[in-house]
Amino acid sequence: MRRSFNLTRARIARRTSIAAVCLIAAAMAGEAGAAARSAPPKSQLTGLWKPMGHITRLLTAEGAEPPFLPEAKAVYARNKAAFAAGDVSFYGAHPCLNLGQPRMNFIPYPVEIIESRDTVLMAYEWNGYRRIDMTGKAPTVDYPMLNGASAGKFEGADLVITTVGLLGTTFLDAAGMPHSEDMTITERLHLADGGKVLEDRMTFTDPKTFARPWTAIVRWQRLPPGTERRESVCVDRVSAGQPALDMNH
Amino acid sequence: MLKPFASLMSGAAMAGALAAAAQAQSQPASPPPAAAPATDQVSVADQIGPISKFKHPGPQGDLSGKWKPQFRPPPVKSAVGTSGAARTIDDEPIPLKADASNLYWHRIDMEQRGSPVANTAATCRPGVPTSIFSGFLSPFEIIQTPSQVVFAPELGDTIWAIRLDRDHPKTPRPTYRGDWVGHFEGSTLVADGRGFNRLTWLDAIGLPHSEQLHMLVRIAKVNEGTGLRVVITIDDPLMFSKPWTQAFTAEYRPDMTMYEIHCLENVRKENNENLVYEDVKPVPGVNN
Repeated sequence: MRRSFNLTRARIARRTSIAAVCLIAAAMAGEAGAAARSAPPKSQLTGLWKPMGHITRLLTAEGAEPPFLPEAKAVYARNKAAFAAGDVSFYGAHPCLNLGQPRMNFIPYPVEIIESRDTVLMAYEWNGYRRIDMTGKAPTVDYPMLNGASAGKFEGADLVITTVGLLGTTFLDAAGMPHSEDMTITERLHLADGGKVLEDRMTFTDPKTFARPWTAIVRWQRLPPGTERRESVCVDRVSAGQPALDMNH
Repeated sequence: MLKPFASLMSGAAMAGALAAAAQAQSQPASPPPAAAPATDQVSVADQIGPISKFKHPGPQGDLSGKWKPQFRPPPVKSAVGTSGAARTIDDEPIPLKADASNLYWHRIDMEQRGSPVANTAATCRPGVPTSIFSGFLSPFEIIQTPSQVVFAPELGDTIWAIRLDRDHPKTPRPTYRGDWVGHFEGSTLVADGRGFNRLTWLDAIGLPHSEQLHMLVRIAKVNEGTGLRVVITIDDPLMFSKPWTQAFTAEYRPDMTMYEIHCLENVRKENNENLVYEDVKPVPGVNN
């Protein structure tokens, strides 16, 4: 019910505030639009990537447990124990529902990065996509969503992404690491190993869950040119008795 | 606008309700001949709402940005008298073959009896990608790159990618979305779709197709970049006696926020208990 309420509230807010938004956007459209219409970015991020290794538990870049506040530490310990015992009922969602950020980025399925002038799209073969606004606006949401709102900018060759507005019902990893809806994720996507590897340094700032910001590193390997994302329909796999998320995929 | 929202919020196969509402399709007042290229302009009378106040700043062949499909109420002279039915560009009946017509009317009849046949919107599977053009409540974003044009709809988890850098595979694996390749003719994107499974419908009420479905979609900016005109030609020799054409418009709306709508967040047993499932079963890797 809560999600439906959120949807209703947001939708109504969205439609009723549209006039105001139009005015603001109209005022901005001319200048910002013209400036943004340059050539497509000469970035090397475009292509198909696959996460390296099977990450079920996020650790800090130094390999340590994140700096949990006591309550979050207890929740994670409980979830981890259930996960280790094969019980993931704590997920509390359809097994094929989009897992949200950041978890979508390190399930063992390819992700395609598609770059255009105003938007970078990360299309997940497993399910769904994430859009990163590149127009220079700060990310904002009217209500929290699974993937929140992301805004990105290039710093040199690195793509730096800020994400806010994440639903608190998701987990940061498969083992059930909790977070609050106040979390901000700052990512730095950096090409390594001559462009064969994409490194995502994710910094989590969430004063309700963690004592201080901390950083995890996820790496993808580039799939050969010409590899395309396949249509993969999780609900059909589940109907056929296959796992929703095949960690050996 | 309130009525569709009410049905959306009642929760029932939320995606189904939305798709059903969305499927009421637009019909231009002065249609070009069937299968003709999209004209570069569309008259004001062709649009249900006001022309967008936003003008696309890119050159004519640049379709990138956020677009909102325009809604036109279903006409009295609808082919089947039901909102959500597909309509031809010239308002002539869809040239259904007898078996296809029987299946179509069976599905319509089942819904009227209160035991609707499950479509992919109700079961949270992808639909044919062109359904985004009738989803008048939800914008879509076009992301255009040298190698592909991608449509990212707000409604649903599945993007629609039209490859510009290759041809169809010889025997495409049948999928819900199909295999799409495209090219530009002048400033018009011409997209060719084949390789569909037969689990999707061509409208919200049950218009069937087979794996021989072939769609040709022409997309161009119109009205000085304030609008998008989409002309879709549908061919399926197993279902239709000849190709037929439908048309849609969308308005440029860079001001709109793209929200997330996940069908699987709203699955409720009580909403699906009357659904009747047809015999065709999806088999991963075989027909999807």
